[in-house]
Amino acid sequence: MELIFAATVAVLYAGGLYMMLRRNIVKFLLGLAMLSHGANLLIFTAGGLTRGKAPLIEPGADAAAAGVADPLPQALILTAIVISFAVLAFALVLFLRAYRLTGTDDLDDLRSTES
Amino acid sequence: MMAAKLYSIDLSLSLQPLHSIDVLVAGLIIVAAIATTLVSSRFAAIASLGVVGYAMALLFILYGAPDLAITQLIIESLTVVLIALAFYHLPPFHHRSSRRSTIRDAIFAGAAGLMAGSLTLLANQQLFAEPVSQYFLDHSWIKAYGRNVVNVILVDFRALDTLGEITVLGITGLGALTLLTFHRSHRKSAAHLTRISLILRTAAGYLTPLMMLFSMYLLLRGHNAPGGGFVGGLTAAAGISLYALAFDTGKARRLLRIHSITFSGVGLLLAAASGLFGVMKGQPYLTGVWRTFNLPFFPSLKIGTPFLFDVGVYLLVIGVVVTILFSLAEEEDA
Repeated sequence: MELIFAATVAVLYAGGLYMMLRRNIVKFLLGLAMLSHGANLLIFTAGGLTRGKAPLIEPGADAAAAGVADPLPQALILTAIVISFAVLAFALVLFLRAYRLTGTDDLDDLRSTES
Repeated sequence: MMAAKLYSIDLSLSLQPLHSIDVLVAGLIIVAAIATTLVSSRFAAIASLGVVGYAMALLFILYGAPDLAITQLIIESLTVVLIALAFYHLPPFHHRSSRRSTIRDAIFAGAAGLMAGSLTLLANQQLFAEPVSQYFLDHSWIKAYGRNVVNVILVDFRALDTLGEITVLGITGLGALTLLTFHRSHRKSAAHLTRISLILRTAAGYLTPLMMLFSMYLLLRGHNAPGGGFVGGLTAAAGISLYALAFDTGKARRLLRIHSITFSGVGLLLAAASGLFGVMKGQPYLTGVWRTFNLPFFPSLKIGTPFLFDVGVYLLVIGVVVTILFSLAEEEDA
């Protein structure tokens, strides 16, 4: 199963980076969103896969049962999901502003600081 | 089983068995990711990116991460709204790159993807030290009175990290607010309403209060079951956004009564202040302090500062998401 997950991470990274190399702002943003999916899945897989057992402590028990999923990568990814949404939103707003000011959505035209 | 020796790293793989449903979901992600990369229509690209996100939520469910799954589901819906709102103002795709640069980029991206995939596999197979996670699993209930270990890590064990992260979130909201100039559109409302489906408007009237209620339920149960401040705040923000889409942002703003960015300020303050209770007891900042209250209907209700912290996260997430979505929705055509 790990091989499939690694292949999925590879496709998400390759697709995301390819889109971020396009000259179109919109493609760049979609690529950024896809890259963050890839990063989340990378952390999730790197932390070890446990199928079906959530890191919850049963009522009445003092500690989690043996063999539950690792909670630490999950805590990392939970904040990463929310932060990547905020980063995407901020990038969208920033590019929208840049597009309004410069009148171009071509990233190659935004190279110089003079316009 | 493969076995090889490379720079003294043992490359024999110990893999888990394949499950057909997991392979199907992973395959869906791969197909949707390739589709997003290659389609020439913007809306097809948004839709297939949505498929990637929802399929990720399915994987999280299958691999014992219900907290991640519900967060991913709501974030994905909000992302589609966000991107659709912004794309309304941006021009359509143009094919600009020459064939040569396309091939060069594809080779570069492919190589980077291959590296990320190998890194994933290597990291999955190596175990250099005993993970710290066992401590969290063993002490989450005894020391922090929480049964959902993921939430306890976020609001108690590693609360300082979370405080840093929500500060970043708050700054993003402020940045988006200042970047987009405000035009309170009054002329929009009347003409705007007729274009929106009656079904959506009627449904939003019932769904928004329900979603607000459900978000509070998620917040309250978060310490012991899947839920918590992050996903609760996102659900509430989704409810408010639904209302704003069905009617208009002016009406949604009046519903909130105070400016949406105020929520994030109050939330950040609450989260930061909740750490001071520990300091007053002579313990490190953000140490959880618990007290048992005997209230009518709730005998021996245990309330602690990590709960206050989670309420802060909840308010901040609502403030940031709603501020960004409202600013984009109110942006006028240039």
